[in-house]
Amino acid sequence: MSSHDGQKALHFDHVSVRYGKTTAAEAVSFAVPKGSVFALLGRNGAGKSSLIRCLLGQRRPQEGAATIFGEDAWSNRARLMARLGVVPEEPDAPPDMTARQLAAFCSRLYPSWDGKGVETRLRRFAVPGDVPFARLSKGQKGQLALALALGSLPELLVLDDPTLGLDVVARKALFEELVDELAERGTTVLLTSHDLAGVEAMADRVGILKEGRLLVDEPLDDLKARFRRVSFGQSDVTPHGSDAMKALDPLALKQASWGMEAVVSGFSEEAFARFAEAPGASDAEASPLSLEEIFIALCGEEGGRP
Amino acid sequence: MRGFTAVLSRELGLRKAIWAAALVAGLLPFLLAALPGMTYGYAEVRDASALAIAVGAGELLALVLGATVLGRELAERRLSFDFARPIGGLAIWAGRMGAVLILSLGSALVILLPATLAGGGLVTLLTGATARPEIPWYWPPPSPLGMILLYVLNVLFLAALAHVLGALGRSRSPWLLLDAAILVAIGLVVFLAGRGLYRQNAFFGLAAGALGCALLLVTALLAAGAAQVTRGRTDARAGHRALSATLWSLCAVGALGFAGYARWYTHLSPADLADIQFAKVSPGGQWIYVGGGARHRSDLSPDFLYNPTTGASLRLNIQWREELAFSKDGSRAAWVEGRDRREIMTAGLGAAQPLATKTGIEVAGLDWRLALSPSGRRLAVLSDGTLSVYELAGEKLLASARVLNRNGENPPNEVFWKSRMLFPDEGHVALFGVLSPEAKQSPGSVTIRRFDVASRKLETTGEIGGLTGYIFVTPDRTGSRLIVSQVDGGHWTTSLRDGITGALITPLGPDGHAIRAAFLPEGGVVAWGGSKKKSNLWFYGDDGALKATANLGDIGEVVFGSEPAPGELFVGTGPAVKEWYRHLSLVSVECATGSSRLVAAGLAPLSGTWWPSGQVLPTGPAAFLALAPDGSLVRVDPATGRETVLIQGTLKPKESRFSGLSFSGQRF
Repeated sequence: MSSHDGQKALHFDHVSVRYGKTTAAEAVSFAVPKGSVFALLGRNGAGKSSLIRCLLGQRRPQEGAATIFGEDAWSNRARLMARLGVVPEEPDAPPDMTARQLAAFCSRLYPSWDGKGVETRLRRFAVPGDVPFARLSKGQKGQLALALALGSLPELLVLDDPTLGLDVVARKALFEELVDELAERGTTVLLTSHDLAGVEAMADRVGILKEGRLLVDEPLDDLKARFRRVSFGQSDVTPHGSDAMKALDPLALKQASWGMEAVVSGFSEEAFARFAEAPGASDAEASPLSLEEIFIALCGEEGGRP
Repeated sequence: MRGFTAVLSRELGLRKAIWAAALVAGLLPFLLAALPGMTYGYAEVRDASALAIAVGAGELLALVLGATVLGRELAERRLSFDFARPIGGLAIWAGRMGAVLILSLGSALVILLPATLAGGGLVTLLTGATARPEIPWYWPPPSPLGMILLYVLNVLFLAALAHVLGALGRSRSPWLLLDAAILVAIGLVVFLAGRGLYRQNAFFGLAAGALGCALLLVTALLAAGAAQVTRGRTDARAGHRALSATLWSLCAVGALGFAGYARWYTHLSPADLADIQFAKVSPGGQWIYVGGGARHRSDLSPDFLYNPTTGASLRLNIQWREELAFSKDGSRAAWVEGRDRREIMTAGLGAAQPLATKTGIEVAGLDWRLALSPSGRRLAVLSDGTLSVYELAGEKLLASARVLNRNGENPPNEVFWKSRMLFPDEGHVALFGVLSPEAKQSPGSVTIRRFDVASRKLETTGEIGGLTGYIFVTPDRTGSRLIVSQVDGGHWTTSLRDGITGALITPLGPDGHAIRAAFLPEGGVVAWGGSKKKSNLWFYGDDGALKATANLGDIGEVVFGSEPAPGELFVGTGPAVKEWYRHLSLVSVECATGSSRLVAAGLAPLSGTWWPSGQVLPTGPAAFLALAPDGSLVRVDPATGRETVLIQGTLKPKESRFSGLSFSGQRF
């Protein structure tokens, strides 16, 4: 383990996952520094959950390795899980166990257990302590899973689409809880979610998967800085094929009601200035994109190039 | 360990209701016992039904929980909860399977608890006081602790089996076809290996192998379940792969091991004989027939044709040791093999390594006699009251006849195992049927019959009547003379008679009271008898005239052996003590002078005539063979008494070699 590895909470090193002839992830590599919040994004079937399962030591990748705190996740799963909190995509637990019983069970497994914190969170989430897990609502199951995951005071929190199926209130409560946790303990978080607005508020760094390949792995601010929507009015002379437009290198170009819109992934002020002065590009404006818009630009039907 | 105990206690806690149900079930035996119309006593019915319910409930729980506690959660992907915790895969598996075992066995104990508190149940089971023969379906095991251990293993097996079958069934993978194919292949290997043991009556070996297979199967099932969880984790396909790979590799190792064990157990050579219990010497050749206990195979008693000169051997699966027939020239042997279909086999002994050949001729029932003609070309078979003569080349039936008694009845009620059949020349077969008072036919008699192969005529040529007690007959090699012995109330009467008419030639011994007698190779007869202090050997000519007498002194027992050289006789002599056959010594006697000398102490002649009458083996390689007290077959130098071990026996001094066994074609 190099000294650089020591700064990584987790690392995917050329991880490939296949199910028969179907490839779920192909040579994916990225690392999450300690204390950061990494959002792994992708459409359904992009390979996020397969990578998470590899990270949790529940599946052995066909190629490459997933490491947590410098140790192989497959080989050292049980030991590493003592430092991890996990909220799975589909929260699961023995169906007959109540939240209280589950908390008591988990408390026996971890070297440190924040029992009071679990109780407090369950109260805050309004999750009943004596109702069997199977009879909890989906939101309550997710909130219970989060409470249990945070109860072990984890160094790394893995959240596999924790907001899936949650209503707005529950989603907000979950993200608030995470923000509190981060503020208090500086826990490293690996998060997958389709709630990009929530992610945008939390994530330091973003990875975007498309069809098993990692398109993007960079800080969220950098990502947002290089993506712009460029809108301009139409005139007789179209700027589409102009050198100025080529310099902008748009990901997508579409007709808007009042003119044209281009999504640019490598925005620079100089290139934009040249474009704005180019013939036919009247009233050119550049505006920032939300994470959701960037995601759509990359992973939508027409997108693809980072 | 922390993970294991956490999982175990969680699984037990989740199924607390089972304990309550078991307690309720434990009260059922009291209700059953109180039902009106019960034939048996209250305590008996209570204990028996408590045991039956406990055993059944334990096994049922093992099956149900074994199939669901892990398998269902794996199938429904709920196991990821445990795998997201700091719990080892083995702890996840062991905690759950441990809970299955505790719940299954514990509930059986809880069911027995009320009956136990009432003074029965477990108390009677453990103390063996449940032996109540008046309840036919409830017989206690001979070793309660052993049976309890067996039950624990059974529950473990059922739980592991249910888990594996449940997991395989739920996988619904096309690879199940491969699983099925491997199962069939392994099953076939085990079946063939087991059948090999069964066919050789190696029931101990079969039981030991089956126990080993069962233990390995339990281990394989448990290991497969563990591998599925530890290596497959939450991945159903990987779990199936891990389960199948572990299960079938262990089962394959077990099956191949069992096949190897069965082969080792049943593929024997004369060197594997631990003690020789039976021997028969070919009168005109180098081959002997030996059988006895096999080393490390307590239930096998293999038989061989063995050439002590070359060491060559042929394993026989013979059905009746006494009925191996040699031809007079030693060129062929014939015997019967097969358990359900008894077929006559032959082997040409002229080859360096003889081969057993099926003749296609079958015998019926359990009573049959075989005799080969002097050249070995013809075979006489007496079976099911019919005498048949075959030409072995081409298996051609030459002649046959029904053997009828004086009243024209068939079969004659003669004592099979004492009757004799002889093929004195190529054209005739001699039958000596003994009608003994043992068969509740009084008085006893010997009927002498001759069958002419060419004319296909069976004639009764003579009859010896008025015999009492136990009757024994031995014809000479030509069938022209007959030694008849009878013992009645410890009083021996022995005589030499004409082999065709049965007419008396001469009584043997003073007043005909010889105890043992045998034909000498050159035609004479030797007899032994006398008092405890002074015993004699009497040598008669072929006409029955007394030629010489040898005083053996204080000899309690004598068995006649062979002629190491013409005019010299090997006998085994020993004191008149209990188990005298353990204390024989090999003695050489000059027939002409009666002088004797000790050749080797502790040896018995291989061809010893333990029967009251028999034939002394002529001079030849087999004449120098003897049996040592440790069960070894040795060759003796007649001049020096030096022994060369041919087959090393391993009998300990106290072990019996002879009891209930046979020598020289005669049951001791």
